[in-house]
Amino acid sequence: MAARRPRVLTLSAKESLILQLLVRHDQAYGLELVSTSRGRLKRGTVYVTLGRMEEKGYISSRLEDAPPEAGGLPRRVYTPTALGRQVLEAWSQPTRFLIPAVTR
Amino acid sequence: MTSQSGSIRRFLRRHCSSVTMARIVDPILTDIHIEADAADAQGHQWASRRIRAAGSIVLLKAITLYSWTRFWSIQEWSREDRRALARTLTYAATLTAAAIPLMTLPALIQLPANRWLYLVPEVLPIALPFCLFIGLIYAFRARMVSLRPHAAVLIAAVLCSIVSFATLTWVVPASNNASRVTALMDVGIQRGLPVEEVQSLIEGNRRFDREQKQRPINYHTRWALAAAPVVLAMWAFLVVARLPNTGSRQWPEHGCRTLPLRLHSSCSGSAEPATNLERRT
Repeated sequence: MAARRPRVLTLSAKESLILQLLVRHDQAYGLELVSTSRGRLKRGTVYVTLGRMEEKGYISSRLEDAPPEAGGLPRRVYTPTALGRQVLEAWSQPTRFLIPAVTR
Repeated sequence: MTSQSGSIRRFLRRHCSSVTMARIVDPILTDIHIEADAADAQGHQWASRRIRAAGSIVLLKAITLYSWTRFWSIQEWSREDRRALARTLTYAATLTAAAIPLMTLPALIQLPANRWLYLVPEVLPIALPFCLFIGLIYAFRARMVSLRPHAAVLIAAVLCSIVSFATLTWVVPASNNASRVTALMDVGIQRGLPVEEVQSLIEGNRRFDREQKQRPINYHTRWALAAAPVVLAMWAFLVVARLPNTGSRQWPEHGCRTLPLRLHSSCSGSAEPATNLERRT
């Protein structure tokens, strides 16, 4: 049997933005993420990115009870996982040092 | 949920997986619904309509993006899907590689090897669609495969069509010309215009009228041959869908016996002969 290749953890710019927003708010809906991103996230792509991040294990989601204004439709709430927080931390550590050096 | 979003959801549930429904369709429909209802509550009916229309476009875009990204991650395909695609491509490539020497066999016997090579571009656009057709039927037979390998094979057929078109448009005229030049060099005719060649050119001009009548046929044949891989691949999908779901060992015998009658019944519109034969076999 062929040996399974080790999984490489990757984080795109959009994924890191979503993780940052989720860590800041602890949990959020898709629409909330779009509105708090100030135009950096689009509605057409946010759910695709969220789905991909869920597959990678960076975030988890659950269905919340339907609010009265939702007309019986339950909302999906996203929360960052421990792995997601670790990846974000690992990703932001070098950039903290790099960005001042580059912009100096 | 409004009747419109309810019907969209019912329609999409028939075509999308449960994962796509949970991750993409349902959250977007909920967002559209909440926003449109908020606009309705404030009395902005046109804004509500605009939100629903824009939301439908967003939904379409998200589904397309999600399907596209999942389509290319082959490790997520099922074993049957991967095997069907790999077998189709292997059979088609092997059959094409075998068909080209067979189709040019008479020329291979008579001509030297360097001139035989010039014939390969001529037979490639004929061999490619038929070999893809046979490979597809043999690889997809009696298999429960999803839409992914179908789409992948269709993309391969489109690529074959592009290759055929390029071959017929640029490679075949160039190879024909090269073949003529090589033939002239072989018989030792000098380049230039001696009297015999001038006379042959005059004869050629008389033949020009006859050839001109053949040109539309030639032109349309090239387009038809270029489109053949896609058309035959789609026909193969229809044939495979109508083939009996027997085991792979029984298929060649059973399929060969029933296929002509099935095709006849599908052309004439009656399902009776195939059904009868199926009952007998």
